[in-house]
Amino acid sequence: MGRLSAVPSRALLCALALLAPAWRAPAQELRLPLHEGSTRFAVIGDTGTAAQAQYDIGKQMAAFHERFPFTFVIMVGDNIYGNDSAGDYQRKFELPYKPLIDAGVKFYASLGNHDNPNQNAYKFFNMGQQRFYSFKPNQGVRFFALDSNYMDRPQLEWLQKELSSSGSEWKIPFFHHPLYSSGRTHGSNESLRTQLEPLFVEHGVDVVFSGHDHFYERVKPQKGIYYFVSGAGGSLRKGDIRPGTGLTEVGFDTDYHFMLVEIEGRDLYFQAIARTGKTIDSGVIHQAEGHAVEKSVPLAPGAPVPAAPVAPRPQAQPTPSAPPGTPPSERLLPPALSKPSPSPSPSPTASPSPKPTPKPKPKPRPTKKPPASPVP
Amino acid sequence: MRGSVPIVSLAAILASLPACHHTVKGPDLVPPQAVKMDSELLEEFYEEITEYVKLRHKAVEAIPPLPAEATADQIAAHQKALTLAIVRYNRNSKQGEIFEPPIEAAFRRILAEAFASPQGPAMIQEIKQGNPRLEGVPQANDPSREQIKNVTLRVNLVYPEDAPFSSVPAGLLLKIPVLPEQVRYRFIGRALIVRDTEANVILDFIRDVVPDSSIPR
Repeated sequence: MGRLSAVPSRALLCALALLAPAWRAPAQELRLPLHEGSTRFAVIGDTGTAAQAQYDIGKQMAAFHERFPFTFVIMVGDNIYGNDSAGDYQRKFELPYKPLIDAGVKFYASLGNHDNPNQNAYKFFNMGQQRFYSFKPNQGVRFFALDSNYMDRPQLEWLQKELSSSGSEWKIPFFHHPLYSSGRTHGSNESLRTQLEPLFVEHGVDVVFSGHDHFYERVKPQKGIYYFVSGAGGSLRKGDIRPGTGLTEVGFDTDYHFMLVEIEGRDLYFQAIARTGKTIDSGVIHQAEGHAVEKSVPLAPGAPVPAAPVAPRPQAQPTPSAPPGTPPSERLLPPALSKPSPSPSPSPTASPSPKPTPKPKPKPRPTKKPPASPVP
Repeated sequence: MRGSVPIVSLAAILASLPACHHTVKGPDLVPPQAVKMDSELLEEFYEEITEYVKLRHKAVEAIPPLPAEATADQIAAHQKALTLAIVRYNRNSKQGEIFEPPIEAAFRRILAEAFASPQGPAMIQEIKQGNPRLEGVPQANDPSREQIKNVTLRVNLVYPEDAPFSSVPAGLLLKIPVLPEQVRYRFIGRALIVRDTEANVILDFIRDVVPDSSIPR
């Protein structure tokens, strides 16, 4: 009996031994190219629960930071759930990300519907006591942190002014409520979309990060813009991605995650990583020369992002907004695997500038999107 | 009703807005603030709000300012002091002092019209998001479980710090008077409230403005 039971045990051990490297291989696999002088950051959302999962994500971020020294993190809201005493700030923010804070990584927060507006004075959130603000961490990249809880006219006017006067190649808004999402619980925020989308399209926004729905979703480009929902940094709604919205390019709603992003010139590389360290999505978004809104589709999951500059696949044509209820053209895709990448490079410094915008440099103005063409 | 009243200039007086003086390149894509409210009523409403902001200013003056880069301790201490000061200054306030009956009637009409419009259903969906009657707070031991907090609708009551905030649809905000930064509209259940943002105090409310019986009162 003992012998019989030992056989499967040994077999199991052998199998585990064989599998172990395979398990380890996808875990903590970095797919970003680590170009010298690139802008590197992480994205987290819906984090502040103090749950074990939030701490797990914090550990993974710290582990990835060793190999991909990102200099800042953008937070897409719900930074501190529930009470927000000093102890809560510790348990729900300072401790989970302590290694990153100690390493000098800066956090830039936006406010979610669970956040006390007074968070805008919190030194680690770098909001300059504003509920909406912008900052430019590096040449050619400007971020716009919005308060999507309360998108009133003053904020819309500010955003229009900031976007129109920014000469940055990459204008990246981030805020809590997603304009597009397949969330069963929340989903797309149509009223917000009505106000923000025309500004994004007009002023050459390419990529938008949001949270609120507690999962990962890369939305199919809408009017030429890539929308990411990254709302499971500390909260999770398993199975909350509604199939059949026609919006999902890649979705992941079975575990917590965070994102890493690298911008180099006209390429924005992204990698979404689960709590286990496994990559759930990755790719590159390319801006065509002199035109902010002409770009290619991200690499499909499974396709590696090489360390060298990528020649991405062009998008056949802009994907129009798909109304909810349209048939699904994509299923949730499994995580993809690829190879690690080389050594780190000097990192840029982030400097918040809540409000005044630097003078833009003249730049070809995107107005209407031409048909996408292959990028050499 | 005497038609739409442009309120941007009034709002500018009240609100400590970010600098909006630079010209915008390209077309102006921000829709106008279109508040269908009698201009006298609107003025009256702003008088009430201005009065509160002045009172609030006195309360704020009495407590140490929050540093630009505050620690969690400083934020908590400042909020506590501010809340206590506001509650004390506001102790005699009653429901209907900001939303006086004619103003309340005007708000009800505007909101009813907005919710009956083609965008109405989407707006109501958004009001449900974060509405403390419907959404709870993820629990640390199991973030997939949310606990609904009890929020009492009463003037000068502190909004529970652990309760979420409802969305206020962007389209709706363009139809009601702009508020200064110190105060905000929110929804609790089906009621519209005005809340002091930093002090976290309910200043006034109008019951039953959201026509959706699936939302608890």
